[in-house]
Amino acid sequence: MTELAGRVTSLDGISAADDDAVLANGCQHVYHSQSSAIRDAARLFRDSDYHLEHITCLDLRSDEGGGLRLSYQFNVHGTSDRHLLLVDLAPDAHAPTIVDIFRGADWYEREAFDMHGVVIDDHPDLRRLLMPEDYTGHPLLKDFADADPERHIMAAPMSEEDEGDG
Amino acid sequence: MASQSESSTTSQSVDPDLSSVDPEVLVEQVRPLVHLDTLENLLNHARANSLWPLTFGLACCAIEMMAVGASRFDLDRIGAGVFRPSARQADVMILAGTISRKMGPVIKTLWDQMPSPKWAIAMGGCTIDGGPFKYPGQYAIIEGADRIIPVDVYVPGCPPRPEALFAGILKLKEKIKAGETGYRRNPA
Ligand code: SF4
Repeated sequence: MTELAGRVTSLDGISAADDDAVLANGCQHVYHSQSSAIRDAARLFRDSDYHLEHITCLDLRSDEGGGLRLSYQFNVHGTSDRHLLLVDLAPDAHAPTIVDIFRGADWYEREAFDMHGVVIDDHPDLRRLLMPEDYTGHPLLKDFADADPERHIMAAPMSEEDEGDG
Repeated sequence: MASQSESSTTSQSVDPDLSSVDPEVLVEQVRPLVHLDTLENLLNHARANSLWPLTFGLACCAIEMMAVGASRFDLDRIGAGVFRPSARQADVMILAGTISRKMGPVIKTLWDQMPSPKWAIAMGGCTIDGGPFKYPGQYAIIEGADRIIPVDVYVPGCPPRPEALFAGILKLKEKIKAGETGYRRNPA
């Protein structure tokens, strides 16, 4: 375990994942984290000259339970040292923003909100990213059903006559 | 006073009673009195040979559209290579790529901003019926360009080869020369 990994695991609410998780994710360091610890960890990585590789969200719900999982990956130039922070959340849960720590987190957090409905607290501009702004629902949730599949779509293909004198 | 009453009498005397006229006959009568057939043909010939497409691409098909505009295939050979950056100057919309739900209303706005007569070419499977992204319950795309604007020519492929788009544009030229005047706000 590197010195940085030791400092990450010493934060409140963060523990190192077992070797299986390391193998499954392809990152040298994998942690499980409480959502309250995300900001502390992000600050630690930033102060160690790491950059944010991505934030993504997964819906892991199945018959056996499970919830949403946010994953944050932090990389550094120069060495092949990759750190992955896994945050398990209940559906409809909130997570803190790290936009003020890593500016690049902005659109990742908006995507997590748009696709999975994770509300990012204190985000400066939490709008939908990919779906139209007046859309309802979060398409990548397993229980998603499109409320209005014909939104923005004419019922039938349009011909020149349909346009009339518009 | 005298002139006023005079004019009102005049207007009354020329005001025909329209209620008894068959509406279809009426419409026929208010069409242009002179239709210059030769002039119209000449205009269509000019339109067909100077199609100005709107500069925009939607996805991978746009790469093939760019190839069509570049030197190897050279869209300028048939006068359609003047891609316009403004909808106000364009008269053909080449829909090259996937139409996402968020983009749909934007494309409709651009189409409405183009002056008539105007034509649309749907390039690739995505703009024909959703292509590879069409499945029950999909949330992301509009399944076919003709669900938002009227389309004149469909070019199949994923993506269509540049030759195919070329064939599509030539087909559109044929249609225009044959008198398909495209969508107009006030059809003559
Ligand atoms: S039809 Fe195929 S090549 Fe064209 S935009 Fe769709 S996916 Fe891409």
